[in-house]
This record gives sequence, C-alpha cells and structure tokens, in this order.
Amino acid sequence: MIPRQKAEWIIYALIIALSVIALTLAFFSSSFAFDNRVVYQGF
Amino acid sequence: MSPAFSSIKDAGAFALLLLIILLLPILVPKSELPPREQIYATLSWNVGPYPFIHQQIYDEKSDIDIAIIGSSRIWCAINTPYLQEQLSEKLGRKAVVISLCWPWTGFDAVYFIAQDLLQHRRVHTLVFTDESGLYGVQTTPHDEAWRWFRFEDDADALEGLPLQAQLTYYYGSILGLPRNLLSLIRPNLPPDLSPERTRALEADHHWVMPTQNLGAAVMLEGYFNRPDLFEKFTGKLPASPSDVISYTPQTAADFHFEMQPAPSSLQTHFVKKFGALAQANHTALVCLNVPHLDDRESKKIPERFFWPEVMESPVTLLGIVPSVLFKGMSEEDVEKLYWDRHHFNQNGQDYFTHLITPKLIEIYDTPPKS
Repeated sequence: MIPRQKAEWIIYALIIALSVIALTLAFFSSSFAFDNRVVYQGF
Repeated sequence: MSPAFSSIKDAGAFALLLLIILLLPILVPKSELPPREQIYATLSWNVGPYPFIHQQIYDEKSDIDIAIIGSSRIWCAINTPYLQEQLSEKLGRKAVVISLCWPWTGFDAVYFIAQDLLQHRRVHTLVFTDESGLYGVQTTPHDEAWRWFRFEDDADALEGLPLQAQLTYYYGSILGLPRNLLSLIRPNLPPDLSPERTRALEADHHWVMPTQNLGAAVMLEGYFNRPDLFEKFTGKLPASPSDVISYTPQTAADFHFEMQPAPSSLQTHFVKKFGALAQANHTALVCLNVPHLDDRESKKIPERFFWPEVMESPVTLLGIVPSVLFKGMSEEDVEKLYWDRHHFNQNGQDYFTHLITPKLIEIYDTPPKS
C-alpha cells in the first residue's frame, strides 16, 4: 500500500508532467489554423 | 485559496483524463477508427472545398485524365472546364479533368490527399505547383493537417522527419481524433448545397462556386482582395501558347532554380513521398510554374528547387517566362489579372489557362518515361 502522502505527490507530479507535455505539444503546433473565419483571408 | 482538487481521487481522475487525451492517437486501434472517408465528411465548405474533394475521391469512380492538385495558387490558376474541353476535343471523348485543391500551402497535404485519391481512382497525370511555402520554405505542417492527419493511419509517413515535426503531427492527431471518432456515434450530414447556401458561399468568397467549375476557384476580385475593383480585362495580352516552355537540356537556361533543398526538411520529405506515390501508381507528374505578381519582370522561370532532383522522380517542369507573360503591360494592367500578389483572379486564370493548355495536352500525350 502506497502511503497517502506519497500517492498525492505522485499524482501531482504526474499532472504537472502531463501538463508540461501538453503545453509543449501545443507550442510546437501553434501554426495550426482553428478559426474557420480566417481560412479564406489567408487562402 | 481552496485546493484545486477536493480529494486525491479527483486529482487522480484528472491525471488519468490528461493521460488518456495525450495517448488517444495510440490508444484507439486502427480497426476501431471510422473509415478515412469520414475525415472529409467532417470538413465543411467553411474549411475549404472538402465536400467536393470528398465527392471526387469517394463517390466518383471514373479514371481521371488530368487532376490539378494543390493549394490556392494552382486552384486559382487553371480554368479546369476549358482544359477539359480542349482535352476532350483532342481525345475525341469526354476527358475527365478536375481541380482537387484547398486553402493553405504544404506538400504534406498534397501527399496525403493524393494518396487518398490514388487509392480510389486511377489518375493519368497530376499537375501541381511549388507548395513548399509562400514566404520561404515552410517548416510547419499544413495549417489544416490536424483535421486530416490520423496518427494511426499515417505515422509511417513521418519516418525520417525531425522529432519536432513528428510531435506536431502527433499533437494534430490528438486535436482531430475526437471529431473523427464522433462519426462512429452519428453520421455526418451531407454538405448543404442549397441555392441559398451556394449564394452565401459565393458572396462570402467572391468566387464562382468550385462545384460549377470542376473544382476550380474562379475569383471575382480585383487586386488587394477588392471585389469592387474587379472588372473583365479587355486589353491586349502579349503572350501566346508558343511561349510556354517545358524543361529540357535545351531550355534549361530559361529556368532559374533558387535553392538547394535541405535534405531533412518537412517539404522535401513530403514532396519526395509524393513523387514515389505517383510513380507507384504510374501517374505522370507535371510541375506547373504559377507566376507571382512580384516575378513579373523576371527573365527566367523562377523555381525554388529543381523538382526532378528533389523528388527523385520524373517530373515535367512547365512554365512561361514572366517577362514574356507580361511583356509591354503596364503595372496597372498586370494587377488586373491578380486578386493578391500570389493568386490570379478570373482574368489571370483565363489568360494563363489558354496559354498553357496546348502544352499540357502535349505532355499528357507523351508523359516522361519512369
């Protein structure tokens, strides 16, 4: 059985790590167009 | 300040949700994905002419004589019905000619969409133009790649790309997959092509609906995106079809190749794959130079790369020297052929298509040997 404090630490570390990964991927992908309204202006 | 999570279980559930979202492209097995057709079915006219592309790839079955493929520059450059009419006359039967085009540049889009097309229809000749980027060589995926790239289907195509580029496609897949998976739960509605909707699209984009022109975009805009300035050009146009040049050792001096490609660049990677795909399907390739307004005084046909070498495939290069194309025309008259610096409007499209059509038909008759 993992002690509660250690489990908390692991989960929060996991959340932080996953968030960092998500943000890094989002940074790499900032060139994607998401707004349909601007599509034809750039053509 | 209250804590972010009321219990350790809540925090655990949130971590699990994040993990599932990030691993979604790997967790969903290929066998459980909706058919690729549904990728196109999820894309509306607001994103691009994907309903037309969908119809051409999945509903139409006939062999295609010439498919114009690529982004808006070639989309606006070719009057497809005229090309079809001329080719039909030459062949003595109704030729099948389409423009399979979309907004935004990138050879990745050309490769993936050509792959879907060639899996469903036999194509004799594919005509494309330089898609490596409008402002320098593009290092990022196509702007809409997240809508049509599926990691489960397409991961193999990324092999050899820098890690950063691979990660971007992976992230795109995370973004696009939920919308794609929705197709398993309920069907995508067919595109609305009612007269009201068609009129609205034509008014929004200042074009004649591509469905009426075999996929081509006929832009009714004056220079600088000014629909109010558009008028039919009635002046004298200087060039004739005999001015159109295809690349041979004898005509090499009429071409100027600006750069040596970076071997591992994203554009090089996909244009090479596009070449191999065409070869595997016995499809001839023609790279058509579509002149930018800023090239108008160039005394050579400017190409960024020497495509046959970059693609490692037989490609016919076709173009017209810009200074010949616009010889003697005032700057004001040249601008009447464009709706922005990179795209022909209807005037430019008609002029350019009439010039290149005879040579294109000649090339169709005698494709290069592989």
